[in-house]
Amino acid sequence: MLRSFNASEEAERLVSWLREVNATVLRRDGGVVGVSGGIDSATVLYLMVRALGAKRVVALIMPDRDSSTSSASLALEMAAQLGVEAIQTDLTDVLQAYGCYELRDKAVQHAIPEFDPRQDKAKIVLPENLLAEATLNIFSAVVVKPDGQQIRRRLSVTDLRQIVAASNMKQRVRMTRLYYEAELRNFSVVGTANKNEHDLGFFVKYGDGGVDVLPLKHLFKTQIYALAEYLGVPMAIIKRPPTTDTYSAECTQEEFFYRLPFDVLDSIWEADERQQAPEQIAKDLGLHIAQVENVLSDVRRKKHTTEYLRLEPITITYSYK
Amino acid sequence: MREMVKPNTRAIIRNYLTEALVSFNESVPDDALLEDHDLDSEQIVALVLFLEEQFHIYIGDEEITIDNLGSLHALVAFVDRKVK
Repeated sequence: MLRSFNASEEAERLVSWLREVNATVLRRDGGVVGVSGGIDSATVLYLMVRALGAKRVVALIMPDRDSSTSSASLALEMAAQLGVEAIQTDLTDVLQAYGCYELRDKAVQHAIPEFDPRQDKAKIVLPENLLAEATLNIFSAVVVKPDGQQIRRRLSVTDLRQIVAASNMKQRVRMTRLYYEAELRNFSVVGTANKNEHDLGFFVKYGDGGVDVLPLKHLFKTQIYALAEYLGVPMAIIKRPPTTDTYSAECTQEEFFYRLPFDVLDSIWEADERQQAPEQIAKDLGLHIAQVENVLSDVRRKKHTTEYLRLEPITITYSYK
Repeated sequence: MREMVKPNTRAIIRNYLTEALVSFNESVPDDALLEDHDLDSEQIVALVLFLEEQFHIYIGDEEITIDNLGSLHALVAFVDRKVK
């Protein structure tokens, strides 16, 4: 557990903040939350219900053909327990029409010609375990054959860009649908990105990043676990390993992006933010200094290289002469 | 005996970096950190591919580290070790 985090105090603070922001800053009558069946969106849904009441909250569940079926059923169950309106809409047809799957699969096939999208599954991953090796972040494609055999190959820049750009259509289509439901009701769109996702760039610009309010942006993933437990989020959701729910093969967020467990990442990162020296962090966590430094370098690198995602559109002011 | 750095390796890699990285130019010292010159994950992949093709070497994922790729100096030493 990270230092000085009080889940009940934080929950109360967020509830009154959400109430205030929605009414006086956004001036909306309620909020729509895209609910994936994961812990972040569940936590936001619980906070919104506390803040505005179940009648002013809508849970939008937007699976596509790559989503795990348990994600949608967990989300529906939770919405029913909370008494909020749940809308489930499958985005497969829209994504298909955009060419999302075809473009993505073509690039995977270019990297791994043995890939047969009709029967195989695929995902992209970073090297494993940042604590064990100081390797840099380069993506590989992994194809999983029906018998479980895996083929892994490093991705070229062109293939990686095509896979990412095509996959990002998913988040951008979800954003479009979220705003449709929100505008229909004069509601806001409430985002679910946490500090890890926001600061390290694990979100899609104008996709899941296209929202009106981000109540979890300041919280480490491990703090969200504590918050979720306090709010009473079902254990079936809390205990699920966080996944990308984007690729056809199952892909945890750890293998896709973070490269180490959240409790380790957050402890190192939070201690660094408190100006603790790497030597002290290593001592407190029973790690080598080099491991701590690897993790901190990775955090710095990801923050730096994803800066563009967090930028608002750049404008220039009119010059009166 | 100390290994001699092949002058050609340095020139080829320096040329590549000057073209690939916006803020990398002739005045950047050999030991400057490339991440300070915006060497991001895409550029690392492109750099690895370039090195593999140019020097006919194979670079394993486990070799893609700051120690091997972090500066021009590190790159030259790494490539020269591989082609030896």
